[in-house]
Amino acid sequence: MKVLAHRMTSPIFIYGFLTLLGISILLVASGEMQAGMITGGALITVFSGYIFIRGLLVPKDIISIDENGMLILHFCNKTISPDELTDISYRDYSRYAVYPGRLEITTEKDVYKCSFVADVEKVSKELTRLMHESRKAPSYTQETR
Amino acid sequence: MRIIAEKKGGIGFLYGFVAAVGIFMIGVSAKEEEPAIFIAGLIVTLLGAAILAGVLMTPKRIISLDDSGMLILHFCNKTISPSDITDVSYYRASSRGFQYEWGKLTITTRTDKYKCNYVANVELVSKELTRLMYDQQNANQGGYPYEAYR
Repeated sequence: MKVLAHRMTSPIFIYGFLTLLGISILLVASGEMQAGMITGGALITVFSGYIFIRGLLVPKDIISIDENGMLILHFCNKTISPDELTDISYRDYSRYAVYPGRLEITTEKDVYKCSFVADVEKVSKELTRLMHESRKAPSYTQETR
Repeated sequence: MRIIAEKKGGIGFLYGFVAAVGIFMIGVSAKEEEPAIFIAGLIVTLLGAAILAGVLMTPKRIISLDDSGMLILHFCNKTISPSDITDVSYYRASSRGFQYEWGKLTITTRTDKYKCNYVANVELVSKELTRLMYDQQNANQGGYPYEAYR
């Protein structure tokens, strides 16, 4: 079995740290009874905590390919064949370390979305390659000419 | 001939306006004798003008596919076969975490790398070029067996 997509860790650390920071602000502000700081601390804690927990829920190995050439989507516990794929999209925010990369896998039946994908562009290209290579008949070339 | 990629419209107007604001700031600084406004105006003018020049130099039709299946890269006056392409990458322009539909396209062939900015619907264009690349490769090789990537 070969792992195609891993979970990225840097946003999880960043949002974990921000959650702790928000909790610290909340504790300090509640001691001094400052309404503005309590609101700010609560907002930081809820926003960062939500993303932090979402990140932790994503499995470490997101997608792998087994010996039979089937794609195992660990993040949604599904197994699909590469020839079922119809489209692969990604949102790469790698220039901004705080935004997690998002992958969108479309099949004939469903759309599977997963955030916190490390090297999301590379993963998308690998899945696109598998998708096109699984289609033996060159159906499009004739249409475009 | 089919158009594959076009330039995003409206960016020229935006950066033309930015350059005009910079010129206005320089004019105000000359009248008010404020060196800080002059420096800020100069920076805004130069940045706006540089981006505007880049936008204006990009042709409206960026990539098209001719009747013989060859890709014409109008932005660099080159004609390549889809089978020469080894990689197609894109980066969507973004601001404060929000990504736009347009962006930068990078086409890598066996011998060269071609980059073009201000491409409208850059993700769709990249997917279309990737599809053409694989279709051509599949046509040349008669399809890939599964064993090839196991």
